[in-house]
Amino acid sequence: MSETSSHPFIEVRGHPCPANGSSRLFVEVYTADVEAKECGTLVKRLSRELHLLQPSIDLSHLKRVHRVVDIVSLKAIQDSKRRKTTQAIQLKILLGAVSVIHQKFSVSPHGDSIAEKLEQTYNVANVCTLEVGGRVPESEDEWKLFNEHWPTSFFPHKTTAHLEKELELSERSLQQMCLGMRHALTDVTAHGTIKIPGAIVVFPDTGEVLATSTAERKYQESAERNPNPLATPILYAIQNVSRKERQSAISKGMDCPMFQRGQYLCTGLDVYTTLEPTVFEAMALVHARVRYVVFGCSSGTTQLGGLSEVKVHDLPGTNHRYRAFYCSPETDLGRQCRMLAPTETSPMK
Amino acid sequence: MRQALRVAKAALDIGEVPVGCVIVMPTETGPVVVSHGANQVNATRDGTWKHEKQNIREGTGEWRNAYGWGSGRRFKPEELKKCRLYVTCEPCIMCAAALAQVQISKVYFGCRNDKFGGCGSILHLHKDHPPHHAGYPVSGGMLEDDAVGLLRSFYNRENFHAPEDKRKRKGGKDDPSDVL
Repeated sequence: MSETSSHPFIEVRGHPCPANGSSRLFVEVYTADVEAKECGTLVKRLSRELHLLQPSIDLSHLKRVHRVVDIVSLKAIQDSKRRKTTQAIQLKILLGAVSVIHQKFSVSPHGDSIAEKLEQTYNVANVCTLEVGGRVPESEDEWKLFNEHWPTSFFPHKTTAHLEKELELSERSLQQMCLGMRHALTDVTAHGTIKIPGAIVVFPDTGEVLATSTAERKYQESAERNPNPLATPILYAIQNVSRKERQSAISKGMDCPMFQRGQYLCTGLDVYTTLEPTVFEAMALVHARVRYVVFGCSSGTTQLGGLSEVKVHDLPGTNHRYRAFYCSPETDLGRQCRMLAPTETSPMK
Repeated sequence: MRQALRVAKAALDIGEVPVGCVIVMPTETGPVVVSHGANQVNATRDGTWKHEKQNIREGTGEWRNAYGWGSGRRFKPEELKKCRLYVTCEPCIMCAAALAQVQISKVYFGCRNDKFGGCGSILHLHKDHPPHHAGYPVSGGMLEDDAVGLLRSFYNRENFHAPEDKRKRKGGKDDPSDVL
């Protein structure tokens, strides 16, 4: 789903994948001829010194070595039956992107001495520039096009088109999301003139509401005199799940299967909230291992949006990610959530 | 920080990830430890029940001075703005955001948290993100080796929370008592 989609729910995209981050179809690289006996050592050395995956550019979809077969020489060798056929194979090696090499060797973009410097440093010959595929091939045709320039890897299951199809929400999922958000709206409570956002945890297969923030708030506020600054609706909803899990173990002991099932008890569950989670809440949902988070409207101008701005649901390096959606502002659900928000909401970024 | 390490060691003894934390309030008579906390993820079955969050909850809510750390009084949330927090490991993103939310005065931590750290490792939530996120000063590397030693002794153990067929049987167990 994209921002322009007519769906009632719009996905909050995460951080762009570095492999697909380059918008350029072709990039310029340095290549060179290398002796077969030197090739393995040089590949290892380049992996350490000039890795194809760089912060500025990702060329990890390209093969490092290109075997160029001279057909005429090969035929002559096969006819003579005296020399080895390997003498008709020329190995070319990809040294790295021009921009990366210029930066590493501190030369100006039009420096003439760089080819000589590369030949001396890496013991190669005929250093030259070449245009190669600048991104992961998005289709088989694009892969064939890139291969005409330099050998390229192709993974059909990693293409954007394939991933889009995989991630597409079914009609049933959309209906369940509408239902879940309606439940979340009923969880909104009012303390005088202040409206407290609603948050619920739902079992996705059946749509059963497992926990609500209101239920947990009633329990905890009877035990607390001072308001806990971190007792937010989403945290209450997560704690309500854990409370139910603990209660299920009463009289059965901590060794019972119910209690031993796992510490990340929201694994695979969906959370619906009327207001966008803060960074604190969004990371709590990562720790809880939820599957989807659906929210009604952005958190407005008062706090940093945990999903729309910081994108906590898709941080590189974390051990869990979830998909995040928000209600389209044009839908009834989106409008109702905005009306019930405690502060003035801002347009989604 | 030594008191935070002691809390972490207590957590280790009951099978929790050994990360401990104390909140210290400066007073006219000198600094006073007003709260302490450790991970309770395994006991509560709640992945969000972490040390700093638990500590803030105790400092402002249910803490009743059961361990003899202070005067036994309860504190208002606003009083956290005067307090410093000492934690054995860099706060995770959730805890770092919570600390910004309560406007803690300063955070001291032991070792870095390369997987989830919210104070420089993954995100920089201790820095200001105008207009609606105020950061706080941090200082890392305090008694780092001791904090790492405790964590290492935990992760060298067999995880008895894992399902029977997935448990990794490990041989030697480090004795964590020598780090305190």
